[in-house]
Amino acid sequence: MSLDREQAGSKVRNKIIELAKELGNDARRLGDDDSIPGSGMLDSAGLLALIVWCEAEYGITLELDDLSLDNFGTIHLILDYLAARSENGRRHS
Amino acid sequence: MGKRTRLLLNPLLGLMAHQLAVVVSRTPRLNSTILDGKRYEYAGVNLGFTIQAGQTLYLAVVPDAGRKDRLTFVQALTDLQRRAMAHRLMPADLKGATIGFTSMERWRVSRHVPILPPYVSLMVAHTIDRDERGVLGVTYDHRVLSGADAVLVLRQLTAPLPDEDMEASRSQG
Repeated sequence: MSLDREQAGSKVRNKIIELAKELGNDARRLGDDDSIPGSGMLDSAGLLALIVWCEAEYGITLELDDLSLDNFGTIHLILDYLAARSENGRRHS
Repeated sequence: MGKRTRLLLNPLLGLMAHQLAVVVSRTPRLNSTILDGKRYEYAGVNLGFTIQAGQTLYLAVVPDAGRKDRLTFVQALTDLQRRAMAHRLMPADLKGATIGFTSMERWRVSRHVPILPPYVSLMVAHTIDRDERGVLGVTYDHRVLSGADAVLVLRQLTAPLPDEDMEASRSQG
């Protein structure tokens, strides 16, 4: 099943906003191509919580090698990654 | 040469926790407890690491941490953190801590004083303050360890990390 990018983008963005709020940060203006770790909106624990949420929300299991800036550095890259996973039905490399 | 990965997660806390395990494994008296008035030294270093998952605080344990290399340790810790956040830790993941490491860096406090878990005599308390300075403290059981022991741990944790490959070749003679 292919990913509905618009819907997924909205969900991912809302999750980031929710996690950033726990730290007292306002991530509503985070752009799709802005670096999530570089923005300072989420710390490592927040990023990990985002990863765990992606796994649960999209029924995937991520390998340690998948936890890279190339896959999760921006909202755009997260959507690319999720789209590739949903198309391939296997681990994205 | 292995594949290069641009890390998403900062491994610094994991590396510090690993260094703690290495320091303690080299000084067995730091890895001890008191029971019925008698002092015991543990045979191996099991590092307990606090993980906040929602309203739940876990003390997840990396077993035999002093014998793991840095990469293996950080990977094991990351695995525990992921499973903790999904509330999927197994009872064995929470058992047997002999030392502890905790951080409140996300809350930007200048210090914190954790209470020791049962049968643990030393827990390093890390944080990062509002001025972005890393701060290390240690809670310890004064019946088992002296202030000098605590200072030894802190000094060795703040020393530059030795080259793991060089150390391995040196120990092989």
